[in-house]
Amino acid sequence: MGAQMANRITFGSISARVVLACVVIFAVFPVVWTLLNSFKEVVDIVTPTPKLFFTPTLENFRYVFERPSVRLGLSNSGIIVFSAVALGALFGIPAAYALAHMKSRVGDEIKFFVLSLRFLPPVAVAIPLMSIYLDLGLYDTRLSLTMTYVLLTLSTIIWLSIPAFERVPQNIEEAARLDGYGPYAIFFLVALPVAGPSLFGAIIFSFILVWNEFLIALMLTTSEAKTLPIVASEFTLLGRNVPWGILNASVIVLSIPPLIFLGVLSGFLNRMFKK
Amino acid sequence: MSNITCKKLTKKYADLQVVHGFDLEVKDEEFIVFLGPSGCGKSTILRMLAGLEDITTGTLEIGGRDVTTAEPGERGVAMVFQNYALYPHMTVRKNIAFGLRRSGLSAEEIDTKVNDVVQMLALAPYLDRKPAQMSGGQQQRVAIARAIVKTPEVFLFDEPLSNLDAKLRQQLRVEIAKLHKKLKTTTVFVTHDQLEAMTLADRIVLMNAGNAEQIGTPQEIYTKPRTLFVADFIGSPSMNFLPSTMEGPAAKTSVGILTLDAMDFTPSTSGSATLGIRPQNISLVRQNDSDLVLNGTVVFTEYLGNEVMMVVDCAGTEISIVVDAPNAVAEGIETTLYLAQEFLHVFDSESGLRLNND
Repeated sequence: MGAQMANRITFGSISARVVLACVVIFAVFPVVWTLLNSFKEVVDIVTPTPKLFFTPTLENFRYVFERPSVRLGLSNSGIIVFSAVALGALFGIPAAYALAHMKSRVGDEIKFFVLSLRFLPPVAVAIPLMSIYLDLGLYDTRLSLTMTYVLLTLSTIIWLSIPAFERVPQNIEEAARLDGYGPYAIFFLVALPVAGPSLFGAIIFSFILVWNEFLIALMLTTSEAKTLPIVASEFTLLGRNVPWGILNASVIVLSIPPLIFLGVLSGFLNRMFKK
Repeated sequence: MSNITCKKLTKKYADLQVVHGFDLEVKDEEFIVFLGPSGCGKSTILRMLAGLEDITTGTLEIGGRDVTTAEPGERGVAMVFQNYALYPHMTVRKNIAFGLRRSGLSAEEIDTKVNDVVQMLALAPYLDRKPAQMSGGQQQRVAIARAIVKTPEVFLFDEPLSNLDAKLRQQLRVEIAKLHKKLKTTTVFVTHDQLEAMTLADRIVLMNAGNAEQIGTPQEIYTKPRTLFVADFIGSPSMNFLPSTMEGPAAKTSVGILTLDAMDFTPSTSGSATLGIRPQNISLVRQNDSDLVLNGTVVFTEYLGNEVMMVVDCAGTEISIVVDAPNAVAEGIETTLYLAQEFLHVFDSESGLRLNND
């Protein structure tokens, strides 16, 4: 009986693992190939038979990092995304806390409004914003792009933080009230630490969203405030021969920050789906 | 002096009124239990005492101070919740000390107080654990410690034992009773469990649909239930009820005419009355000459250990009785029941009020 059960489990787990391995290879292979190509000379990339073994070179990365446009894009992306996420969290998290406690029609309407901010296609928002920023003389500045990105981070952070605060048991906050704490103390000392891990996930998610953002940045910047995705995309326009190695290297540079956070985010997603 | 005075408390949510003019005077050091079925308003009133629900109208005084609109933290009350409500991100020690950090005590004073309470509830081995690493019973003891450490004027318990299994529930119940004997803090305890109410209470407030149906000692509630509702709610198994029409001392019921010649009661104005007698007050042998006699057949028995619950069919009406196990009669056997008139209750069928003169 025990042996039979062990057999069945082994068979089941083996087939599950095989399926899982196939899916993982399918998902990860393009990324791995990009990573390999970023260390190849162009000749090794364009050969008719794909090469798994080659003499690696850091030439592509050196080229990428030596270009002033990449440095500018990197610092623009860093400053704009960091500011947008920080402002989004600063205003979004308290707003979500208030909305989680607002059990009325008004609260529901506000929640829906926040969600509806994400319905509009970015292009539809970007064109009016473009003309507004042109009039204000803010076009192609970090400030205008940051303000625009705050719209994205704020709504995302609010929307993901409301359930995090709703999962904080009401009685715990009531216990704190009976312990003599006021609403601000309860927010900072009880609700925030208890909901903290989920809130962190919401912040990371909004970071990845704006770090990868392309369309709005394309329309609102031309030179000064260009972000990394825009700069990377411009490598395809370098002459007649597409510089594959450089392109792959820039993609890798672009992917590293989100990849680091993805590890953190997976924990958050697990928590979301467990409930 | 930490007495509580509730004057005409009401609670209304939009159009729904859940508490209708609740009056109660709780004496200093008294242990009061709010007992009633779910939805009767007992938890709502407790939360109004705590300040977690606004009082719609009426006044509330604790220790002679009007706290009708005071913040929960300013009422001098401490509360224990059904689901423990410990701060999940803090250790047991921090949970207990959290309320004291607002009181302006020095770190040493807080430590001393926390250690005293920890000693009292034998929580020392768990001080550095988080709530999630403890059993439900231990978590509730931490919650009790957190309440005690504040030395409040009033303890409020909101069904604190309902999430625990039977054995733990009894242990903790005894522990709460002992703590009250020792600390003598005025206590209001909400439960739907009549055993908890009977064993813990100095006085029980029996609630029904937002009203206090009866306020009295456990003994009063059990032996002199003011209304049919109270009579039905208290006691296990439930009291037997016989609807009847009264003509003087003669009660015409579905089991025949019973002559209540040895009873003192005010006749019901409507002429219809409901007779009530507890299963424990019916005997299989005659005790008094005045005993009322019913004949029937045993249709069902339930073995309870030292006692047996029997259901007896008397002319189509089922009467349940509880007898000592050796005296039990098997199913299918005809038997005679003797109802002691001194334990009989007469209720007005319309108003539900008890009519006995005692």
